[in-house]
Amino acid sequence: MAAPSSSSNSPNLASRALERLDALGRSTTDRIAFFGLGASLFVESVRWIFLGRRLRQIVRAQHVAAEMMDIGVLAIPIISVVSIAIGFTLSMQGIQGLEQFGAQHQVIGGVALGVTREFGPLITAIIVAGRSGSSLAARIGAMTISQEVDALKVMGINPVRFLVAPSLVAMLIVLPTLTLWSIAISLLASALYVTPVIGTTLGAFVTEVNASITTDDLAHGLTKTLIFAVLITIVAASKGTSVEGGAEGVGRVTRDSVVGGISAVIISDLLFVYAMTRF
Amino acid sequence: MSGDPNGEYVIEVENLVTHYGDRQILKNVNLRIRRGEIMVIMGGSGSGKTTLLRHLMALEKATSGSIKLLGSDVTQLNEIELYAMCRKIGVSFQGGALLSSLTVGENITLPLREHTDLDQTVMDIMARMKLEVVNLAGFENLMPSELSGGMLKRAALARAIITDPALLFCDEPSAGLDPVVSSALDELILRLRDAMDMTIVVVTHELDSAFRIADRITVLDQGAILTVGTVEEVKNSDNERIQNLLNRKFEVEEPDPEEYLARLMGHT
Amino acid sequence: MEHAVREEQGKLVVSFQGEVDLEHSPKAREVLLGAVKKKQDVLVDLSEVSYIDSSGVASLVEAFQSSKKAGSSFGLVSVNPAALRVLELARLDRVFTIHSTLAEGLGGGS
Repeated sequence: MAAPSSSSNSPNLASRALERLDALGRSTTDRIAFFGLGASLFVESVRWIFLGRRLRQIVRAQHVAAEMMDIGVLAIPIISVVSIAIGFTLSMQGIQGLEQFGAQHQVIGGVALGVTREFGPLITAIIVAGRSGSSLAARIGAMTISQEVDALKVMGINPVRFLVAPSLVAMLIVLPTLTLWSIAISLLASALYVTPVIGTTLGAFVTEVNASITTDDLAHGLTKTLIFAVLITIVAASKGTSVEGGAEGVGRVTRDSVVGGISAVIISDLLFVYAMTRF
Repeated sequence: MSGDPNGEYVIEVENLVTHYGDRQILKNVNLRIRRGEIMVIMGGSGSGKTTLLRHLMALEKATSGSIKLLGSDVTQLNEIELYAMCRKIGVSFQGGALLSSLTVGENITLPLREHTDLDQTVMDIMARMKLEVVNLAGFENLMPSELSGGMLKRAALARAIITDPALLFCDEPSAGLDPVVSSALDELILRLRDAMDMTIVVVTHELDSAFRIADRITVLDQGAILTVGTVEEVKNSDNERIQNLLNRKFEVEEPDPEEYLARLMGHT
Repeated sequence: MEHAVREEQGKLVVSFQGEVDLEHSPKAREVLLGAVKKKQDVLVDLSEVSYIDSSGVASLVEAFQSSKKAGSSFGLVSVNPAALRVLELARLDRVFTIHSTLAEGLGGGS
């Protein structure tokens, strides 16, 4: 629907404003449609996971295992490197900041809490979104363009059950596990830096960590990873299925899934923390 | 409303209308395809032939109308019932559409692995049997990326016929192939119909192929059926649009000079 | 699909009735391999098979191959025209030993 214009030489302000509103409205409805797509993909995946056996469309264990290998095991090197960096950086910043109060010893508790509740889950999720979210979106996008998804449908194989559900299950298992690993590695790195600097022993470090973190903190951190896992998978799958336009389109949805996945993770983190601190 | 799966007509399309957004793509299409025939659907680009094929395969939802495959109206079936029908139809897509992460053999046996309890040895023998039929013996352990265009299409056919379906759909089987490979593929399609009693629906724009394999031809133009008939009937048709299509003539309209100038200046 | 296995003149006669298709061929395979395992000569009576598809044929091929390894013979008997056409398309009509009647299958030595 083209906005009315008197002639091509002087578009009037009103029609331009209308065009802008139209575009805004359209992008909003697109975004709402996208949420709708994501929600329905999630519901469908869950349905196949639990009812698949009855409907003769099971989510195969080998697919899940293969995904777990790719999302989890192969990510350990990068997660380890990043977690070590985070552990060091937080410790360095923390000690420097606390020095003015003579409270350097508090860095241990601070880093432990920060890593367990926030940094561990967040950084792990961001890296996984970048690595595996993008590859899932690319895979689904490429398969859509090449009609492989259509081929699955005419073979009576539900694409959500075949492509999305295994990744969802794998992500739900892998992300908390990777996060635990990340937290442990960060704390180890922190210990390596902190113990000589503030002059304490590894044993004392560990005791202090134990005293600072409760199981509640751990539960808080790990529960968030479940939410992140769902978001990363569903954003990637939604982007992949709504691909348009050939190879360039695949590149676009890959990029969008990373941006979308990371944004979703960070915003949901905010909402979760807000909800938890209010109740 | 279900009909006879063993009736004379394998496909019955009634008053099929479909839109893409506001655009009407198919305008009241009525078509009946007989058991055991090779029906070629032809038309220029934009004629709606690929859309029609996608509707026959239940990949798209129509605006209105009914499509009966083997007696059952696929527009009325739910997802589970649709998936049950899949065993009886085979589809060969334009680019092959084999899953790139599986070997040729694994691709061919995928429908079996997902839907049956057959033993792996039996499935492997079946896959090799079909590879023999399409002249790709020994290719089962290659990846799709290692195959040429013609081989990919033959592998796709092998996958399409793995469950011995009664109905086979081919989307542009000869597209992008050189004449020799193309006619070999045509021979294959004819052999499948003769030996396996298949009804085959082919969408193609290659006239030579169409005339070689078709029992009947359906000509589509701008979403509506111009004619349905045997190769002879279509070739001798006195419909101007059909003759243009057959002779690959393009219609060039002489524009009004004022209108033309306005168009060039961007005023519409 | 029904099946029956009986012994006649020292050979095992396996007969199937009905459709040997995707749903039923696993059972047929079980029966065939079980018969071959007994190391006696096997004859498969297909006269009452209304429909056999590639999965049924593939099961026959597997059993045939097993019998070769076991050193016993394996033949098809009374193959109706529809089943024969399936075998012909798969080019197996010359691979299998096919007897037109049961008597012929029993009469010929191994």
